[in-house]
Amino acid sequence: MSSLEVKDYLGEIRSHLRLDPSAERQVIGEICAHFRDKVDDLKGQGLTHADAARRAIEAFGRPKVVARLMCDAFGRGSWSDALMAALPHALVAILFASHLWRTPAAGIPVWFFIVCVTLFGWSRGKPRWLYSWIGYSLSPLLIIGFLSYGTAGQAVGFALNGFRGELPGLPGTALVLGFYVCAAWVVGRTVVRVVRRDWLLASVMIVPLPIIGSWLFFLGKAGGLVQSDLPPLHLWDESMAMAFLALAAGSATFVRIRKRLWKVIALVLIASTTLVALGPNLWGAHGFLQLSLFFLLMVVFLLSPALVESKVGHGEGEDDVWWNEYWSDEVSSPYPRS
Amino acid sequence: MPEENLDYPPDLLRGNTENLLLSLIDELPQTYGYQLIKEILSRSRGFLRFKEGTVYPALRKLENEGLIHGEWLTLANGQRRRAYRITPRGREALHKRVAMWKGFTDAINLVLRPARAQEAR
Repeated sequence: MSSLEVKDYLGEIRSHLRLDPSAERQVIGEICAHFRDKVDDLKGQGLTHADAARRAIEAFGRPKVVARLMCDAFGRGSWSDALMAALPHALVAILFASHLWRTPAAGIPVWFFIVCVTLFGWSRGKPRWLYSWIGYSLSPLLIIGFLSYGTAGQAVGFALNGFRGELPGLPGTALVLGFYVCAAWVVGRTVVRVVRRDWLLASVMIVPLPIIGSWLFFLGKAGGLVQSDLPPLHLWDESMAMAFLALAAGSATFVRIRKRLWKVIALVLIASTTLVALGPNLWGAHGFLQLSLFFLLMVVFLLSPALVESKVGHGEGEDDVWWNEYWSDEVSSPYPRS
Repeated sequence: MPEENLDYPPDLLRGNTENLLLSLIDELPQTYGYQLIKEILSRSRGFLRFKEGTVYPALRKLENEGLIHGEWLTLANGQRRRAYRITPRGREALHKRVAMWKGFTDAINLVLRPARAQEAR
């Protein structure tokens, strides 16, 4: 066995880690220092380098188990992380509870604040609380998409009709279609980048979107976003506020849970229950079968990032083989040379 | 995780890994993962054997709980190691855990003693 296999072993551990990049570097760096010491010790006992490396790997244990234990060790966020993760949901809940979402002078500054915090967190090593903020930063794309779907629908109808009939104004159509393409690119790229770290964080990120989407759907049926002063909407504001408060509690719980499996269960249960509880208010009374269908759809939606991860892989970014620098045959230094 | 072919159930060691680490870190200033593994093996005369990869998650857990503090040190030869020292909170937790362990083993010994005496007969 050569040190190439130690590199593979490190890579295998890394592929199962679900930590932020700086934590992953520290973990791999520490394990690499261990291997250096161990291999040097075994070589001192008369083993060849290859045998020493093999013995060191055997003694360390299965990479998947080590990675899982490491994720569990890092899995639990602090109370301040939990508070930060809950904050964007709570802010949106306040907007709905106070009916202030209808006042652009209140809604836009809140969104701007959320975007600023998101950019701050993104540039500061993507802490674990960041992901619930990203979802709300992206939500205006959903709202603008909703507002312009009439034009887009007309354009698609025109194309499906063999380019016959009436096309809405060309500049407007081009603008709307361009927006859809850009929005899809931004959302897709963000989701892929988050999924490469951990698909579960991508689920946390997208969890508010079905709730906002359902609400927009209802608004569309009730006359549209611009006619939102209709009296029944006040009732909706309370339900939406409760839903986002539930998400706030769910996000905080998610951050504080240590075990990954429990995180998945907590996220799916809280989000799905929230949507199901909101469903009858949004779309009218539904039977058990329909509520079950909503629940299932939400579960599938929340687990879909796992499918994306199976396609795009984990941690395969611009520096996908960075751990190679930690281990080399030729040099005796076990850890990145400063 | 202890190796499989030992004379004690793996859970027995697994449940005490953190206590052993905490105690050694209290005793050895600026110690590191590999040294801790060797120390446990040496002091237990080879009886307590870990899957070595389980020690590092245990160290991280202790660190996240604020019981130990880890920092990267650069050695004279340019190598870098993550060294650990116990925190005041860790020392307090260690005293409690040692007292609890002593109470527990004393109680177990009190129960087992008649059996031992019977075996001797």
